Amino acid sequence: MDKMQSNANASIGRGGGPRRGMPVQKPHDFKGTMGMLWKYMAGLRGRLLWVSGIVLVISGASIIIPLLSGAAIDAMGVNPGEVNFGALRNTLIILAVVYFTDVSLIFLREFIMAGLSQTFVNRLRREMFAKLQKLPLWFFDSHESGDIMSRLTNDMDTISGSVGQAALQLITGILTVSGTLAAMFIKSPILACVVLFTVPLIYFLTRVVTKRTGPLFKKQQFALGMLNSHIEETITGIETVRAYGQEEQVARQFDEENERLRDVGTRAHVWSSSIMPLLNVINNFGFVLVSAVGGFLALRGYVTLGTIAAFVSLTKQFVRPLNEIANTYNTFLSAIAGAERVFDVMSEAEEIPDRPESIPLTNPSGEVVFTDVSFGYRPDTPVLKHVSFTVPAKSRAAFVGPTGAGKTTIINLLTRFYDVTGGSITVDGRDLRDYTRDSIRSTFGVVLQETYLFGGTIMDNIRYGRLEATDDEVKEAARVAGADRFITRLRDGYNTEVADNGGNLSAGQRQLLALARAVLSDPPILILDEATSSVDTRTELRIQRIMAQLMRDRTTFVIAHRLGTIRDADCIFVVDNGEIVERGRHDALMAAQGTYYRMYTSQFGEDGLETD
Amino acid sequence: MRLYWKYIRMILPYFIFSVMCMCVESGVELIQPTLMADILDVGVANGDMVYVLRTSAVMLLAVLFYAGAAFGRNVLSTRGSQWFAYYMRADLYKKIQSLTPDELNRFGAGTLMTRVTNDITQLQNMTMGLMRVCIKAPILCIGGIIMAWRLNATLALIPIIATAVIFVMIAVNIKYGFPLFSRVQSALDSVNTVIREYLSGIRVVKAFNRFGFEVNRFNVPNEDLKRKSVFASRVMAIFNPAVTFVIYVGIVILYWEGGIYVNEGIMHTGQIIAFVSYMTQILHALNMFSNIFQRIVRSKASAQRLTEIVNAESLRVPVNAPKLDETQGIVFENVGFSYKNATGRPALRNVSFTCGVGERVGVIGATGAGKTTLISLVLQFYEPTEGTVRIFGADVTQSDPKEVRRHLAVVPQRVMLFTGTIRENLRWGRENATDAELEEAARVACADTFIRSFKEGYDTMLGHSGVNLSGGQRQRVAIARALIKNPRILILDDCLSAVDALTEASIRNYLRDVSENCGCLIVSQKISSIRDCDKILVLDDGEGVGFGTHAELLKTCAVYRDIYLSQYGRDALQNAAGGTEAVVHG
Repeated sequence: MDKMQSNANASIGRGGGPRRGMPVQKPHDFKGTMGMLWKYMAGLRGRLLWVSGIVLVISGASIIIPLLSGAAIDAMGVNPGEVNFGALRNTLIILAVVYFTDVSLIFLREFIMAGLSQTFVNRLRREMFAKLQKLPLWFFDSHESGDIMSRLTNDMDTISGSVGQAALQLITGILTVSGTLAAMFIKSPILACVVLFTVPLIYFLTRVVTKRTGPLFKKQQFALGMLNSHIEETITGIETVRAYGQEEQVARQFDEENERLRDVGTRAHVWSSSIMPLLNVINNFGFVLVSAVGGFLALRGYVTLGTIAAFVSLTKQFVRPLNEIANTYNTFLSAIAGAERVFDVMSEAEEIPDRPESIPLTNPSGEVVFTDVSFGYRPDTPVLKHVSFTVPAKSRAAFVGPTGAGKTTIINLLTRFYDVTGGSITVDGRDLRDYTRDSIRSTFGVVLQETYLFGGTIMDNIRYGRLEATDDEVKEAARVAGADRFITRLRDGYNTEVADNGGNLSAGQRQLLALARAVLSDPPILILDEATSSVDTRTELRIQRIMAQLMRDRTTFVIAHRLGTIRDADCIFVVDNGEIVERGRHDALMAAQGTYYRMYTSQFGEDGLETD
Repeated sequence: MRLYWKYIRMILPYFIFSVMCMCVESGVELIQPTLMADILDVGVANGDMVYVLRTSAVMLLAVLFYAGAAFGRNVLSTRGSQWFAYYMRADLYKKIQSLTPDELNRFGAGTLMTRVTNDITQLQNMTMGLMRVCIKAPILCIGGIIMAWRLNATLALIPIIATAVIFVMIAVNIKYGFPLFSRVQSALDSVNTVIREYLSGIRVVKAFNRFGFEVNRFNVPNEDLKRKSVFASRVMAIFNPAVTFVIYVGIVILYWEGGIYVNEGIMHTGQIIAFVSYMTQILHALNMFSNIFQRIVRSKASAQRLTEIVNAESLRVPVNAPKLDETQGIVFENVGFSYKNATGRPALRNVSFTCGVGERVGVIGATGAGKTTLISLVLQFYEPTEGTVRIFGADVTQSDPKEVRRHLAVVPQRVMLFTGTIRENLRWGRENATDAELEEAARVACADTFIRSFKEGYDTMLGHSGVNLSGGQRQRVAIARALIKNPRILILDDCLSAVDALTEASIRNYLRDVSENCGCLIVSQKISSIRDCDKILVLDDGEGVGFGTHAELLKTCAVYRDIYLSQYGRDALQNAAGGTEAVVHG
């Protein structure tokens, strides 16, 4: 099953190579990812500063507290009757004040952090979404949507869960450790040195662990992404799975993915969660050292019992910050691995920006010329080869040909989903690349074979074509597109809620909505890419009649398998294997008895011929 | 939570052993402060160096035990929780695979996906937490109180009261925290839904330049999520400091009362140090408690979401399924069908037709006429709500759908291919098909040529849902996949409308060749695709309005004539009518 792995792996990289390369493990760039996170903190850093101030005070309190405890113990003396109650009372009053300050500030810190971390993730999500808008179509064509999905949801969640906390713990940790160390040296340098003995131990062991866990966590997130992808695929395709009785086969594949996730998860977590017990052991070890050496020193009269009491707390405090980091360490590592995967997307190449001198395309007359256009999705496999043709303004061009001939690619180039690799496309005599991309896309109204419907009413979904359209305009567009018949039959009519990507509508109904949307947008150039392939012929005929008016005063590109629908086109281009092999009007092409003739007769049989 | 225990039981050995490790750990942690108090109060007070060293040695030995137990527990709890999640995911996935189509639609792929991953991860984290601290926290807490009691029974009241107060706080927290987090979770779901819809329609979004619109659509749930998360976290933020504060108050009182006892000679100073150590240990334990409870609270929402799936309706498991007679085909008798919770008219009404093995039956009708629903009934995705459907001689409410489907092959309207090589996808049709058979089927479906044009031919990897093939290519692979199955009845659900004319012709030739032992149900909107069929079923708005040959229908079925008219024009209709007339009379 390593092909799945390599698939998603290669998808992270760019370029035109095959989607399955060797699995390349990206280096776990901890520093870089942290830098990116810092960058996205912009505007929040002020609040972060506040939190840091609070944290500073909290750390101070945590150093004073053991010292005060020590003072309280010392006020008691060693033998009965030696207790200095005045000193004890004063110490305890101060201790109470410090305690209160400490917990209040901790609450305040958590309070601010809640807003801070959620604002941060909210922003990251927004930026990520904005980034998706700028990515070229290539990105979406070449990535598994389950994988992208996982990055935007799972990974985002892990970031929100832990980045803020981790940052805090880092600051708190450093402050507390250094403060505690200072306090220890002031109280008793010898005991301080004894405690310090544990430091290299901690440092060494955590390093060993961290080194291993980083890549492992990334692998774990990756395995999770693959699992997601599998689930999505098999659930959306469940009817096919059932129809072919592949339930067990699919379950077996799932098991494999599941096992992989379990195994890599076990390895990652065994390592990462070993830090906590490790520190606990060291902590206990420190406790023994303080008791033994402290007892020895107290015996010789070098230290008081109060000092030992203070050290018991200080030692715990010395290790505790590290302990706290360990507490959130699992989630922190997941977050960094997640953040990295998010930033991977953030750093993907965007659509090439418009040329600086590019102008908006407004009210074009609509003459489109392809001159020697070549194109391939991958450098080694050309899809269009030196294609040249002219579509005069306000005429109707039809593209027919076998599947995979390159018809849709022509549309992809025209709408600048992709840019030509050779030759040029001009609209109104100007190269397409000299126009702003936005203006091109509002010039072309595209109706695609695949439809996109979102959660909302049917009215909302049609209005997507022109957001400021009134309800009446929407209904008129639906009428022109032949969609109003079925819409009005629904119980809630135009206010019917569209389920998950139109799940409650048939393919044909979805296409009618897409068509209505395009009609509503009223574009100067109309592109219909198999726009009515799932619509029945009676409806199609009706649509055609109404659409004919619509098409009269604009340039129209039509791709169709049903040749009957394009008979009236001003020019029919027969595309085969990336080249235009025939062109002309229907009658001329029929008379020529070439490819078009063969296609037409095989579709319509003799009856079709008789009507001519 | 019942669901939860089921899986805990599955990893019980891990659980028990890690609890045992925890007992050792907790014991060591409990005994250490007392040992230290002994060092100070006995060793130091009496100037007994040997006692100090001996006790230190005992403490060190205890730490070694502690270390062993801690590492053992780490490995055990990690493995245990991973297996826990593994079993859970496996079962849940199986359950999802068995859900009825209605239930699948109700949940949607998006939430199912997040439930299998996110929600299970939540439970997994909780299990891991439980295995770490579920015993340690009570032992440390109760043990701490007992040890404190042994030092001084009166002073022990302080930790006892503090613990009681904190438990009340934890209870309050659970009561008010839980609803907050489930609200956060559902807000997160909304965000994910928007993202998924967006990803599925990216081409259209780009074509319509609707970036601003999409951003707004995304921002609304995104802001909502933020608001709810912040509120939930802030409410929770008061909890931990409050718990700490209670313990702090206890410590201050302890020092003062302890001072009085020390002054009176009832206690030693070292014991006070030990007492405070126990107090902080109890605080630590209670913190663990509240963490675990918070986790339980959070994961309760996840557990509920998982339970929802577990309780969802599964497909009927056939019992005593009647034996199939593959030589008999499909029989629909007055079949009616409504989708669950659907509004308006039933999707199918009064549909009767037969399709024998060796027969070719066309199904024609307008968009939304119920053609695809009919196919769903044939494939036994659904059972009829009225009338009877018999396939291979058995009533579909009795027979085993899996057995029935073994002899059916479908090319669906919406082609689904799966991650894997083309060869693997084709083998879905028949696992043991030879390469030659695969290629033969691909040739018939006109897929062989383009497959060979790929560098890796039949071993070309298809991405998720076959993204790297064009629509028509996917269709042809799907057709080949169906042909390989050598079905008794082949179902073509409007697939010929999307392939080019040459492919269609090739497939029809093939069908003619194999027609003797293979029936064929052809769904189409084109008369040309089905006019040669032995029988044609005409659907109009869910109703069966005609069943007969092309010629018969032209005469008797108005809807059919209408469709014919729209596709061939009036002249043709007259020609055809005249032609059939001639045949009939001739």
